[in-house]
Parts: sequence; C-alpha cells; structure tokens
Amino acid sequence: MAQYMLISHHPMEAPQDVEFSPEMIQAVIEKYNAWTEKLRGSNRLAGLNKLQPEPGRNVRGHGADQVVTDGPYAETKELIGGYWLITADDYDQAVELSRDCPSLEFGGRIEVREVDEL
Amino acid sequence: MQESSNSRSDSRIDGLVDHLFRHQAGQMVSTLTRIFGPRHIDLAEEVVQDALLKALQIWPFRGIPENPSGWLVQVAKNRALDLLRRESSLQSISQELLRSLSAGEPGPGPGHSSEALDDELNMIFMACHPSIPRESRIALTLKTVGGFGIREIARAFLARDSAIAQRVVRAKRLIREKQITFDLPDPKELPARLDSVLEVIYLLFNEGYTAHTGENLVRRDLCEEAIRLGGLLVTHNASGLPKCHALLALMFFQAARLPARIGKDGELLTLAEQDRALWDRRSIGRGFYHLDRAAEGSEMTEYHLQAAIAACHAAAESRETTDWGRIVQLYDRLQELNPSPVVALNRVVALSKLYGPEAAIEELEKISEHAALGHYHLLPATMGVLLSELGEIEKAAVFYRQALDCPCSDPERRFLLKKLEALTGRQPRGSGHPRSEI
Repeated sequence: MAQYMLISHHPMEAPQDVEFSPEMIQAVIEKYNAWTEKLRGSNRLAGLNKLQPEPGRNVRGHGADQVVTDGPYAETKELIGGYWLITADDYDQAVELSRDCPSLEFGGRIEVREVDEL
Repeated sequence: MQESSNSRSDSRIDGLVDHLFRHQAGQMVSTLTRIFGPRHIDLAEEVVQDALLKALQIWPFRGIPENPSGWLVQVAKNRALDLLRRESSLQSISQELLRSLSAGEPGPGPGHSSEALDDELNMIFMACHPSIPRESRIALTLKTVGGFGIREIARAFLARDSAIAQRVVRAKRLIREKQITFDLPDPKELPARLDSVLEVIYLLFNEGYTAHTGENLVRRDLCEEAIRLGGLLVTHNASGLPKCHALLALMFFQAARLPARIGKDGELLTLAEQDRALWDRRSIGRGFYHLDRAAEGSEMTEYHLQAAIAACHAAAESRETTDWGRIVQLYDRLQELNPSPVVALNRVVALSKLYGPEAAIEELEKISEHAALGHYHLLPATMGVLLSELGEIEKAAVFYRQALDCPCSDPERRFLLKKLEALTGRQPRGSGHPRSEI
C-alpha cells in the first residue's frame, strides 16, 4: 500500500454557460460528499485539504535575482483547489479511485502522484 | 463492489435534506429583499448566490456542517454586511436590520422562524402583484421564493432561457416602477390580492401536472413547489383563508394520483387505467383535511368545487363505485361559477357515466361550436370515446384523427394513436370495447 495525492486542478474562470442553481449546487456537494464518504468508508482517505481560492504567490530565483509574483505561472490558467491523500495498492488503483471525482464533471483535472516513502 | 458498511459513527453519509438549498435560497432572498428593499432584489439574489457558491467551494473538503442552514445564513449575513459597506445605494439601510436575518434552527431543514415565513409570504404577494403580467409573476415567484434557476424554469415550461430571463427582468422592473411594496396587503385588499397568488400557484401546479414530456423530474418539482407555496399561505393567519385550503386540497388530491399516471412505457394512463393502489394515501388524507378546513367560510370558489370533485374520485374504490351523480352536480355548480367550455367538456364526461353515451353526445354537440375549443384535442377525443362506446367505430376513428390534428403533447399523441389503433387495426377485441375514459 502506498499513499497517493489526488490534486484537483480547475480552470480559473468559471464555465460561462453553466448556471449554478441552488438545486444544482446541492447536487454537486452531495456528489463530493458521497465520493469522500466512499473513500473514508473503505479506509482509503488519509487526509485532505482545500486551498484558498486566490492564486497566491510565486517565488522564483534566489539572491539578487529572486522575484516574487502574484498568481500561478503566467502561462497556466489553472488553479489547484485542494487535494486528497488516499491509500491505494498502485497507480492503477489510485487512478481508478479518482475517476469518479466530481471535479472532473466541471472541467477540472486530477493529478495523481505517489508519495515517495523514503 | 463498493464497500458499503461503515464503522465510523461520526461520518455523515446521509447528505442533505432534499431541496434544502433551493428552499433556503428562497427564504434568504425573501429576507434580504425585505432588508435591502424591493428595488434591490438583484442584490439579494447576488448575496445568496455567493453564499451558496462558498458552500460549494468549502463543503467538498470540510464536509457538510452540522447545521447547513445556519451556515448558509451566517455566510449570507457576512456578505450582506460587506455589501452594505460597499454599495452607496444601500447606505441608508441600518445594519441593525441585518440582525433580523434569522439563522436556521439547528436541524436538518431550512430554519423556519415565523419571521422568515412572513418574509416568504410577503415575497409571494409582491411577485404575484396584479400589475405584473401573469407569466412574469410565475417566473419571478419560482426564481425568488422558489429558489429555481432560470434554466430550470425554462426547462419546466419548455421555454427558452432568454424568454424566462426577460420575464424575470420585466417583473423586477415593474416592481421598481410601480413601487410595489414588500408587505402583506391590508385586510380589505387581501382577499382580492390572494386570488392572484392562488392563480399563480395553481398554474404552477397544472404546468407540472398536465404535460409529461421529457423532464419529468423538473415537472414534478413544480407540483411540489406549488403545494409548498400553498402550505405557506395557510400557515399564516392573515392569508390562510378557506379558498387557500380549497386549492391545497385540490392539489393534494391530484398529486396523490401522480405515482399512478405513467405506465410502464412512459405512457399516460387515464383514471380508469390507473392502479388505485398506487395512489398516495397520505396525500389523499391531507386533501380531505384541507377540504374540511375549506368548508369553514361561506365563500364558494372554483377551487372548492374542483377539490370536491377530486375528492369523489379519491374516495371511490373503482370507476364503477364513483359517485357520478354528485360529480355531475358539482360540475353544474362549477359551470355557474365559470361557464368555460373546458368545464362543460369535463361535465360531459361525467354525464356519460351517469346517463350513458347518447345523452353525453347530445350535450357535447351543443358545446362543440364553441370557438375556444376549435383546436382543443380533448373535444374530438371525447367524441371519439363516446362514439366507440356506442360501437360506432368508423365515426369514432374520424374524431380520433381530428384530435390528432390538434396540438397536444407527445404522450397525449401516443395515447390517441393507441386508441385509434385499437379501433381500426384490430377492431374491438372479443366482446370488450375500447377503453372509454379520457
């Protein structure tokens, strides 16, 4: 068993043609709830965190060349919304478990990374 | 497959109460409209939307809070305070007022303090104000008190999103221009204003009830919402007049039949074809309760009579044991109140049960010249039914084809085609004749 981090990337701009009605928002929340409860129920959820929605800061270079900028890299239009830490046998299983993450229904992308246990 | 057992007792796998967000949104928009003033419904909606979106960002990671309604109210309150500081048009509003944004009781449902109820009621009266066109009233009521999205309303009414959006905008503009206020009409004015509210609620219900094309779920939601709004009216002393109970009774009786109305292949089933065991007994019980309450006054409205007719059907164990005599009487009185050809048509159907098809056909011929029924498919369809009961197969088929030439929904079309096939294709099977009810 290893730990995997499921990192949720989503576009910075909300989709234009989707109207988030109260009913729909509730449905999405319930999907997330069901998904995390499923992971929790099978003892696979090791941790999770949500990041603040602001783009944050970037620090690059060192010494005299160090630059601090706002936001993510200029070339990306994605933000990391948060992550889940799960346990799985291997990459295949970790991917399997992330397939029905609700973020994917709304233009999001899940990056699956194995935690290196040194 | 999935692991379903769960040893953790503290985890919330139960999710949220059905429609919690929608109902909570309706309540918060109503309360904020009182606080901001009717000119600023848009701002009220914006604050509420922000609060809901915040829940969408946070709850997936933090889980559903113990008191979801209270959480949403608190966030909305903070947003509203921000807005009061920012918006110059809101400067005159005291922050004291915001205190009255009532937090939900700890518990699963939206917090229904009496103050919140008042707000929703006032919102209904405002949205259904007679100086707003009827279709805008419906759209605004659903959008604000109902907590529906534009797209959901459009889907339910088979209209374009832009058309619904325009209706809402128009209603809001009229509220500003006519300076429609956010309070209950005074007691003298109330009964008349209530008529406009009841009309909107009943239109809403019928929209959900009659046409069963495609989006069944959305449409059933309309029925539920109409019943919820009717319930709001009767919980309040000022607006809980007998005619509100009458409408509520009618809607409960009708809604009781919803589970039995659609057959295995999605086809519409007539009263005669429905399995009465599927009728919702609880809903029927509520219908009778409100029918009793409706009898408390001296006013006799169409809702009273229609509810009484629906009660006859609900009380009968079968088509045969239905009290058709009483139903015809009730239709007679309904016709006096509302001499509409549609009422007359329904009366004919009841009449045929009491006196047989010949008498009914005679009556039907009298009303068929009515211009309003020119393209109404149920007129020739009813004639088709009556003629086929008399064994006049060819004549009946002519009328069924006529009905098919009129505009009607797809399930109704399939229904008529099925009848026509039964008549022409295979001829009457055995000794039985084609089903006769419409």
